[in-house]
Amino acid sequence: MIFDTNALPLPIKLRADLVIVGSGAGGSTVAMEASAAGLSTVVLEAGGFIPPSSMTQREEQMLPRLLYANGGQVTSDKAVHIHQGRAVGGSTVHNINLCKRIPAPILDDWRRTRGLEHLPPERWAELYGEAEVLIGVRPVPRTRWNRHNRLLEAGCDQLGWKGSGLSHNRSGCAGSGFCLLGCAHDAKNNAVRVLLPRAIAAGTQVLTHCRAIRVLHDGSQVHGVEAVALDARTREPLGRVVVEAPRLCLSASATGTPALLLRSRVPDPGGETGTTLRIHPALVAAGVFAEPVRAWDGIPQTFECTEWLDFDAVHRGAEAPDEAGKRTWIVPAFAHPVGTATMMPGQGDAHRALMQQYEHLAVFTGMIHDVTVGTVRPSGDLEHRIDYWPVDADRRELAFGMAASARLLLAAGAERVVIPTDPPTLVRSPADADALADLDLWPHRLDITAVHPMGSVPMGDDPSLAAVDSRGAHHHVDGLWVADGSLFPSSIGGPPQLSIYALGLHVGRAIVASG
Amino acid sequence: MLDLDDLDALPRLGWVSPSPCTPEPQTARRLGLASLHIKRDDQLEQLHGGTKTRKLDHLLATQPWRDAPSWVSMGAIGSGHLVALTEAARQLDRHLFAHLFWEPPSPSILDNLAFVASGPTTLRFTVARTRLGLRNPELLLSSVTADGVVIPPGATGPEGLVAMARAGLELAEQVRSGALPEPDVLVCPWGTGGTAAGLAEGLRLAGLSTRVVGVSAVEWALSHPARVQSVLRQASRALERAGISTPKGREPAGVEVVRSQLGAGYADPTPASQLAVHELSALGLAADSVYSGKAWAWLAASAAELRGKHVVFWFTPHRGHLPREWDWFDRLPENLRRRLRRPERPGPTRRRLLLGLASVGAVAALGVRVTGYDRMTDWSGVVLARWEAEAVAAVAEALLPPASSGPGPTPEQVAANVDAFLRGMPAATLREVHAMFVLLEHGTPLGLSLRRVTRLPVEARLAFLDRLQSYGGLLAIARRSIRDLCLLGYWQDPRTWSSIGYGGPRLPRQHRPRYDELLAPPNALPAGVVS
Repeated sequence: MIFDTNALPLPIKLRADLVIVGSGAGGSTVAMEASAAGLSTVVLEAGGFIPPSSMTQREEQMLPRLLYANGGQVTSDKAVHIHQGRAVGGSTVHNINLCKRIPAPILDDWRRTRGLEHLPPERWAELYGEAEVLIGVRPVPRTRWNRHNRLLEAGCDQLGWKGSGLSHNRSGCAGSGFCLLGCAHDAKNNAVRVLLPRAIAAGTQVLTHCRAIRVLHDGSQVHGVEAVALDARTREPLGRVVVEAPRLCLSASATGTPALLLRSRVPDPGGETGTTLRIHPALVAAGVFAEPVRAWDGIPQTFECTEWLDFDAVHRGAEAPDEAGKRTWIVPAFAHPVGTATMMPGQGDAHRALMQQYEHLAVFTGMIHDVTVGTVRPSGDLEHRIDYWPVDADRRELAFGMAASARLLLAAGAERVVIPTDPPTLVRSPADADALADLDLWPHRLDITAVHPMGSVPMGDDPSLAAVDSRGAHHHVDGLWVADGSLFPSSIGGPPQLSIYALGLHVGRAIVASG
Repeated sequence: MLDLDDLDALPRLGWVSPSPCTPEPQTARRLGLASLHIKRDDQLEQLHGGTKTRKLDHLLATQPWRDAPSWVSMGAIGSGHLVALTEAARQLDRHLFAHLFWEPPSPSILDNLAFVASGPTTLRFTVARTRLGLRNPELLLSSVTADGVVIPPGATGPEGLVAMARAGLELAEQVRSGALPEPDVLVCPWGTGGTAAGLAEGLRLAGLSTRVVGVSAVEWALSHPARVQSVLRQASRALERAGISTPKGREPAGVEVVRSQLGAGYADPTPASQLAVHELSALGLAADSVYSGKAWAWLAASAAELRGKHVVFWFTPHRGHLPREWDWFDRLPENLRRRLRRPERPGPTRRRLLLGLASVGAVAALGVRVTGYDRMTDWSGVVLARWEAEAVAAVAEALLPPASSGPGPTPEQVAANVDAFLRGMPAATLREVHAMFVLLEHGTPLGLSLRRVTRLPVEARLAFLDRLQSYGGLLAIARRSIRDLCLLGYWQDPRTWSSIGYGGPRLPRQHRPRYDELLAPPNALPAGVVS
């Protein structure tokens, strides 16, 4: 059952066979596997339970309920925005349901550099097969692609660039276009709809508004977790929650998990925990079309441009190639009025004039398979600090992605392309668009946004290097496990949710098998 | 020249046997040192290790502490001294009255606090060190209070100094046994000074001419040259009183105290000390960023100066994770619990008080800028103060389209929307938001205007905001942030949507799932509750 800690007597102490921190794709899948095997399981979730019946499709109401820091999480220098979920179901509640497997060259690279005895590529294939069935992954029929996505397809066709339709985990979709604000139509086959009902039916207990702050351990064995109940309205601490358990699985995201490990001083001789963060940073370009696009209307992100992704080249040798244009993934990206208004530069009448083009805008984003490593550190008991600024090769790739997005928009028929510098940069020709690739990026020149933090506790077979092995088990503290995107040894170049569901299956079963 | 045997007659509990001195050849090579050895006091067996064990080994074997049923001492909330005393109280079946003062919490500090709260202790909390001393002068000036006998801060009394002199002799014996070459430099933290001063005396008595560097983790008042000489004199006198005769004609012991790593003040970690903690962690050492982190940071930063020298780094913290009771937080005094829940609220420390007074003076000099907010007298926001709400409204008036351009929220409604959005934001973010408003509202002198933003005409407000943008850095970030907040407060209003062709929510008409079957019944408790 789901218990709101705001309604429980505090302080409170529980005992369980397994406690899981986080109820997103990783945590809920582990809960489903563990409780089905008979382990008494408690899941701690920092956010609240937000069923479709309470989703309002209003940005100002849903973003604070669904996203960490009300959607305002930024790096320490405020130059990069990083969006992450905070609710029962984690980021699976607000994401856009894209499902892609990790490309084979990356899996081969991981095997070569990290070992991953328990997760060879063939094991990934099995797990993907299971996860895709579990959450109902299917290609979005072409008949459901909206004009926004068809413009990206048209741009690719015009330029002769590679592109294709995408697969999503949705069923019964009404095409309202409000996926980012949670699905009021309950059409997402996500953690809340698919996994947690099964876990709860098997006995899992979920404590909401409960933020884990410290792993209880003695340096070699885990004993449970210490948490605080947070006021649902103000997010201020209400009282202590302690769950004693011989097994603890951290699925608190690629920022929450390393912060928790570091705050708890869990041994890590290799020093990788929290020092290898990747985020898939992205820049946008907005095209203004003569005809209305109404980009918010219909299923978002059903088409991708893969012309500038070359995983073979990137993962062939020890170092990523220096040449830009091999690590960029381009998809349509759109927002409702508040998101669009804050993305658009300027103020007053000039900003208003840009907003009046809203109905005619198509926005493409170039998201990069990043090589930059950022850091995550705890900040007090409840927060964390992220440091990340793209290295030179990633800045060039980001600029390249923005230039390619502008080329696509122009090829699709945009009258002009707006680059959200302040004042805005207007692009009217392919030559102007190509010149964007030489744009120097410095903090705050353009809004860099990321939605895929990962890789901050990378798994590996060598305990002197990695903190966690390829089962998700911590090398140095028995009973401690990790099951979320932290485990990826590098950035993966595409949406991570399917891979995290797969890891949840893998780690959940390893926990059960460990006895 | 003395050796360890010469101190055997002094009373002690026998808690300390020599700690290992481990070579770190790779780090020495990296730093260009002839050799680097780490004196691992964390490996001392008793009291979870740490140099404090040495001091208490002597002090608690001496009257009046030996037979006292309870002890009284003071320290910061993460004090390693109080950790050692708590464990000593537990082992010797005594009670500790611990007077705590504030320091910014970190994981290691909270670890220490949790351990102290979990022991046979009564805790009292006063925010500022100076106020604690003024309210309880007996802690510094008297040897006994109504609660018990007083143990000096850091155990830096004569017995503690003798204990550290013994530690110096211990190192000298390890040198003589060939475990390490005679060190040219010994690096340790400087807090109350007992560790460095005692070690310097011990090394001098052993006939070594090692240069002792104490890396200050405390402000000038506790590390100025006269204070250093005073602690050294205390150490010398303590040895004399203990019957340890100092060789005639020998240079007095010296400690070179460096203050380059202090940063913003006591207990404020610096980037270098945080990096040092990380580096020490890679060597298997659980360091803190307050003392040992800063000492290591000096060593790392002084590699050029130390090139080719034999160096010993004295590692003073206790061993890693300490045990704790699960309800340790609830054992803390209420005022400390409150403070820990909102660690960001600045305390009335002397430095802040002075800064505050300076600010008030500056404000007075500029004219009254903090009164006269009367535009939104019925303001009922939760996050923003009334003056901040008026600042949002004033900026919204300047940045957003005028009412004549179409229907939309008033500037006051924009402020209310912003307030609602900010509720539940992380404390650190809200702290920055409030700072941003101060900068915005009172930053007008940057534009050579003595009037605050809310009193400027709309055109001048806009010009000021543009100027902030052109300054770049923090000022530009502040301007961008408040712009975005105003846009959020404006475009969330459905009245603005028709002008851009946006249709708004498309909620399903039929019943939407509530997932009630997943929810626990009212008043139900989870299974597995043990207390």
